[in-house]
Amino acid sequence: MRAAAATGLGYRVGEAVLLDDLHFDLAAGEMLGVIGPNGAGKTTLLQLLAGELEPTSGAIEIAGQDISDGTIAELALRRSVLPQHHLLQFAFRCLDVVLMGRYPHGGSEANAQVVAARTMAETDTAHLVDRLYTTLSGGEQTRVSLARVLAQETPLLLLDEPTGSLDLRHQEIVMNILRGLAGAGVAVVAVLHDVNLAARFADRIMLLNEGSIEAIGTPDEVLRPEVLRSVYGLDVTVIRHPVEDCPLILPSRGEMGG
Amino acid sequence: MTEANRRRLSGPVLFGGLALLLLAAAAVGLGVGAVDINPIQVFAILLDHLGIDVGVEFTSTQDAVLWSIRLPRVALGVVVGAGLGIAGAAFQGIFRNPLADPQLIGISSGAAFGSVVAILVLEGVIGSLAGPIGGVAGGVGAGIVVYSLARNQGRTEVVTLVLAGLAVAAIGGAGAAFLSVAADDARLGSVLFYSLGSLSIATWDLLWRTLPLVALAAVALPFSARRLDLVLLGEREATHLGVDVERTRIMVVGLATAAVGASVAAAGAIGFVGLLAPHSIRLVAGPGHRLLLPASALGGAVFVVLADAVARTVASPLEVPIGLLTAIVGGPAFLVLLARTRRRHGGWG
Repeated sequence: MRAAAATGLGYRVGEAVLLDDLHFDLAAGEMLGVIGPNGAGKTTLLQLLAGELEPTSGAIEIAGQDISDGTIAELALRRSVLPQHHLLQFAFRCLDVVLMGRYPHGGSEANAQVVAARTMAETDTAHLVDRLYTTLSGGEQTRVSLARVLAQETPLLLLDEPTGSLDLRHQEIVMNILRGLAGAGVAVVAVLHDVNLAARFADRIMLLNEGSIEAIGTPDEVLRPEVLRSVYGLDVTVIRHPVEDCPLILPSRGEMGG
Repeated sequence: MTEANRRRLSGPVLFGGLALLLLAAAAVGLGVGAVDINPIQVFAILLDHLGIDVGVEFTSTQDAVLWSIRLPRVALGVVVGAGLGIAGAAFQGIFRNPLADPQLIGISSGAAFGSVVAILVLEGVIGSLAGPIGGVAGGVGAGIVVYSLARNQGRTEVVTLVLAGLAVAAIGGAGAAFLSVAADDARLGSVLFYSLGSLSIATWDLLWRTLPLVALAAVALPFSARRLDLVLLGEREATHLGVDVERTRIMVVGLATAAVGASVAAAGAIGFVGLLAPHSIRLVAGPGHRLLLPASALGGAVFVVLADAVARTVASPLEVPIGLLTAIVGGPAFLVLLARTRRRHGGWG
C-alpha cells in the first residue's frame, strides 16, 4: 500500500530553487533515509511532507489523499513530525509532554495513558515520567519528544535528525524503534546525517543534492563510491559491513575528491 | 531541593488554597482603613444587606463605609487582579515567553492611552462605556505594533517582544499622562492614575462596567488551555499536532487584551500582576494551562486586593499608588526571571 507520494514536487523562494521536480513513492512499512550534504534540501523536503510549507509546484499525497485536503487537525492523524530542535522551555513533567501527542485523538481519551506508557517504554524513557522536561539532557529530551511523536500513532512518521544528540547506545535504540515501527506498517522518513546509520537501517535511501534527487534506491544501489564522491566532494571507500548485510562507508583521510 | 522532584499541587488543593487566600485578603481589604471594621462585623453587615440579622453590633458609619466604599473597591480589586493575572498567563503561553506581562509588553499603556482618548472624545457619544472600549482598542493597537515588531520568520523573539513593549509602553504611558494634564478634565483623575494605577475611584457602577470583559476572558480563555500547552512545544510542533496556531493566537490575544483593556480603564496600569501571579502558580502547580489560567486569575485577585489594602494604610491618611507596591514586589521578581530566561537562551546575542 502506498503511504505517501510526491509528483513533480518543487519549492522555490524567489529565484532560489530549494527543491526541483522530485518524484518518489513511499510504501507502508517502508523506512526511507534521506541523506545529502548541507543545503541539499533535506529539511525543506521534510517540511513539505509535514504540510508546513506549501509546494510551489507538484503535489504530495499522504494515505491516498492530497496533503492540502482536510484540516490541520485531520493532517495530525495522518502524519507526525519529530523536529530537530526541541524548544519547550516550560517545566512540564515528561509524562505530560508525551500525553500532548494524544491531542489529535481527543484530549481525554481513555487509553491515552496506556499509549503514553507504552511509547515511553519503547523509547527507554519510562524512568523519566515524573522528571521535568527542562531538566533533561539533550539526548533525553530527544527520546521523550520521540515518545510524544509516537503517541500520535500516525501511519506516516517524519523525523529530522532523530539521532543528532544521542549517544551510541541510544542511537541504536532509536533506530531500532523506527525499524520496529516500519515492521508494524508505519511509513518512516528520516533525515540522517550519518550515512552508515542510513545504510544499516533504511530500506531505501534518497540522496539529495542541490535540491534534486541524485539517487534513490536500496543502500547498495545508492551508496556507491563514485556517487558519494561527486555529491559530497570527498573521497570514500565503500566496503561490506563485516557483520550486517549492508555497505559500510569510510571517508578517506586527507583525500578530497570531487 | 531539586526542581525535578518538587511535588505539585493538585487542582482541588490549589483552588481551595487560593479561595481561602482570597477570602482572607478580602477580609483584610474590607476591614482596614480609617474606619476599623473587624471580620465578624464585615460578615454581619454583608448579611444585614441580605436581610439577615445575626445580632452583631456595628455602626451606621461602618455600614456606609463598607457597603458604598470598601466593598466595591475590594470587588473591583478582585476583578482587575483576575483580569491582569489571567491575561499575563495567556500572553506568556501564546508568546511562549515567560516575561510577557501585559504592562511589560506595552498592552497596558496602550489600553491606558486608548481609554483616555475615548473618555475625552467618545464619552459624550457612547457614555461611560467609553473607558473600557477605548482601553480594549488601545490595547489591541499596542499589541499589533509590538507583535509585528517581535515577529520574525514565523517566530516571536523573546527579547524583541519586551524591548518593543518597553517602547510602546513609554509612548502610550506618556500619551496618557500628557492628555491627562493637558485636558485638565476631572473625569480623567490624577496624572498618576494611569501610570501607577489606583482603585480609589471604585464604585458599583465602575465594577459593573469592568466585570463583563474580564468575566468573558476568565470563562473563555480556559477553553484554549490545551492548545496553549501545545503551543509551548513550539508553533510548528503545535501545528503538527493539529492546532490552528494562528486562530488560537487571535482568540487568546483578543480575550487577554479585552481583560487588560477593561482592567486598565478601571484602575490604571497596575504593573507586574500578570507576571507575578502566573509565575507563583507555575512554581506550585506546574505550567499546564488547565490549572494555570483560572489559578492565575485568583492569584492576581489576591495580589491586587492585598496590595490595595497596603496602599491605603501604609502611609495613612495618604494613599500610596498601588502600582508602586506591585512594582516593589514585582520588579525584583522580574529581574530573577530575566536572569533565568537569559541563562536558558544563552545570552541575548
